[in-house]
Amino acid sequence: MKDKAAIVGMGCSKFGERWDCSIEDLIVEAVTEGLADAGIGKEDVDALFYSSSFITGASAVAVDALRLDGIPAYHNENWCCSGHIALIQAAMAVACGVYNTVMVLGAEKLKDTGAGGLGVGRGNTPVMENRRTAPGSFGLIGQRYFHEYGLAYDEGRRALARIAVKNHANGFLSPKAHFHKVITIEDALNAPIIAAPLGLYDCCGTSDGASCAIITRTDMSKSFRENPIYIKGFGVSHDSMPHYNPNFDWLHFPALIKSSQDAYQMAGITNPREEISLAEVHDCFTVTELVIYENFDFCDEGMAHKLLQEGYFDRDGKIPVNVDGGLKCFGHPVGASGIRMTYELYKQLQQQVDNPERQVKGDLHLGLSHTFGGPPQLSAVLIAGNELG
Amino acid sequence: MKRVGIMAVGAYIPYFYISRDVIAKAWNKKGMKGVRSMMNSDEDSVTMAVEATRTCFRFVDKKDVTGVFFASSSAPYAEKSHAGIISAACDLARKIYTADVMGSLKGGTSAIKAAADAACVNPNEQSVIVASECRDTYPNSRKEQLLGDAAAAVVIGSENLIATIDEYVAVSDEIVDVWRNSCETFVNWGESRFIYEEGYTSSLTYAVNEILARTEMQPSDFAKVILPASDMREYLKLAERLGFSPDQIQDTLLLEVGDCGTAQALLLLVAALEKAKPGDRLLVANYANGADTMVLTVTEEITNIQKAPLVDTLLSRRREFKEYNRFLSFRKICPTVASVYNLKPSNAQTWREQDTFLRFKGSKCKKCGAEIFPANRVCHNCGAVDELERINLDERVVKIYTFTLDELAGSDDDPVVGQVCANDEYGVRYYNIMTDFDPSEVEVGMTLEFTFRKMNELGNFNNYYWKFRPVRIKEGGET
Repeated sequence: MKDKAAIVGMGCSKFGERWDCSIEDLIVEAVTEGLADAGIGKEDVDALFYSSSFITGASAVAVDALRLDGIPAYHNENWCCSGHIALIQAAMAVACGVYNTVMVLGAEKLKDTGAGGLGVGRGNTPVMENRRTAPGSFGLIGQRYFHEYGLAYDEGRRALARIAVKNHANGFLSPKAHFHKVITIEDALNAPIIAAPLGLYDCCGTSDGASCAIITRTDMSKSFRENPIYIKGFGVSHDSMPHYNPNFDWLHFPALIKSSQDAYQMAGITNPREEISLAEVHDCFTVTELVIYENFDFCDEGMAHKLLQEGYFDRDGKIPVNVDGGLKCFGHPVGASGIRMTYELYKQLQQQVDNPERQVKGDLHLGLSHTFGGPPQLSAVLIAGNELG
Repeated sequence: MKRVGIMAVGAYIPYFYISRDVIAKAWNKKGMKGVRSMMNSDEDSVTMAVEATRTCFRFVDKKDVTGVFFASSSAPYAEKSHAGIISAACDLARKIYTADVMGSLKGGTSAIKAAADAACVNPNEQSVIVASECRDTYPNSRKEQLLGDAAAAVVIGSENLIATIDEYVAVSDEIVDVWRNSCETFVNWGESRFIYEEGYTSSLTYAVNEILARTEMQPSDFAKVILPASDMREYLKLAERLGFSPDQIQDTLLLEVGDCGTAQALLLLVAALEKAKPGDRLLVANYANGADTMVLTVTEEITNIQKAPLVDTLLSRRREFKEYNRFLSFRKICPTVASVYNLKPSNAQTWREQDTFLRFKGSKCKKCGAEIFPANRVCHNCGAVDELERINLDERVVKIYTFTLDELAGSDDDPVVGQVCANDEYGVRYYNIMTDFDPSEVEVGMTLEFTFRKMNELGNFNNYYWKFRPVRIKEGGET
């Protein structure tokens, strides 16, 4: 699949608490930008791949909003990985020649749910799923990581705070991000606890937002623009509910490892630490980002908390991670997030970031975007590049 | 009378207690002596009854149980079997007699008579009698300080008896003295001199004299008298009038637990048996619109149940609760905002999944022996399909593998939810909520046991499931 499909246009709405916007408004905002970026109209789109997890009615919402009549609309709902999996399905669809040009669209209106955070119950065993929240579920990683690597509670929280500080600094430079606030380590440590060891600044926002990509076959891509971004590789992996898996150690996530290795292999990457120019990973919580570094082989096991202090993952570090602020600050409208992350790679790899201060320095070749879904049990990775081969 | 009696005992006293001073201070007045037990926000009379019943199975095999009697005046449902929920939660046989003895504070002793009669007729009858109570009364009333929440259980049968029931005298006296109308939340009491003179004292005096005459016994023949007490003094006056000395009267636990209504007579009986000697004669005299009295003789078998006196254990392993406002909200007298992180079940789901939700069964693969929770038709270890047998897991002891203290999931009055992943020694990984814990004491490796709790009332019915709690009942973490 390497280099078979290319992204030729992208759009992203402003993320945040968009109280005065409907999901239709957000969709129109993202799609208007995306179509203009590709230089096409909606009549040039052969199919829609729609991603959303919290609005029922599936693709019909998007079709209605855009008056996108007469073409197939495929809905993808895979929790936080919805956007990535829709992107991957779209890439596969154009690569195998079923369609020439398709639109991938993710949209979510979480601020209409009435809850401040996300629950992760599925509803098939409601009594067992009572009181399950996303921070309560992901927070389980924290205590185990601290225990395993001998970090005192405060020491562990300080490492996590370093991620929050980094992502807030990056998000401050992202005009479309949900939060624009530079914070200090002390701010993070002194914030109210949400699900210990996670405090307020360890948790991403629940946001409204939409994002969109126009994908076509690589051999057609230059007819849209001079600088298409090529899909180099991807990987998707699901695990059965890890919470009940006696062999699961809460440090090594098989879905993370498998999805990243599959993507590296497809993209021909043998040393991600040297070859990945920047990454947008699933920092739903700071602790998630911490273990992703290690599961993605961005660093050795048990080293992430040390490398953070050296600025290894900062915007000017060895592997810049979440340079647009991540889920943490850009926001996390679930179905839109994977496409938003890819939007940042796309703009970074084209050297066309909306705020030049945020542009990662140096020659950028490959970017990795990633979402991690469920409580947590599925992972999707996409690697994009600005050169063929 | 055929030889029947008590085969086993069980009890449950909640983890929390609240000082009467704390309650009184909220109303700017002086408190009564002692503390009262209080249920947690996830408990009700059914969950406490399940906990008490489970402890009976330290001594009898649950497979042999033929009946469950549930006695309470504070049961959650006006219409629906509670004994059935208890029977399911304890995974008792389907062929079982269940009865709810509701509304009378002597329901527990009434049920003992019914079960003893049944065992007289059929020696195979082994009935659990569980009495459980969590009554509410008006805030700022004296009774608010005096009441307490607890449950107790006895198993009645005709084999391996720890105490025989030698005689039973029941009396019915109609009087409106203590009552609660069907739509009311709070218990009412009549004028105290009237209800103690014409109700409590009159009925018990008559019934006790009747049983003494029938058994040709003297007050001094009894090692202990189990006398219910809904007041600090009246029971002592009555005892004196009946000819019993104060040291013959079983400690009423009013200073540690409070007046736990229907559960009181059984709880005091269990406490008495846990300290009794072979040959001791016990007199139970229970009051409610009449009286139930019985004479028991403790047997040599009593030592079998005395290795770990449960009432003492429960009293020694609990924690003081210091917030009266939360005491009220836990009882929904002054409700606070509930957690939004709940999912509404359907009647069908709850019925279909009861092996998991109520019986807490996992599965064991018949091919490879791997055990897992929740049960899964496909073995996680060897992939065998439908090669599973259901196994009970509620008595397992586990150690925390990792945890979160989740303050998003909580309700306003109970904000910290312990989300825990834990392992048992058979390789099963669990993921449950923790209750009855001190957040400052939770750590990786901590030993936990399972407890039956109410999760919510969504769907307009009570949803029960199992939670972890730091080991309170099990000794040394043995399964």
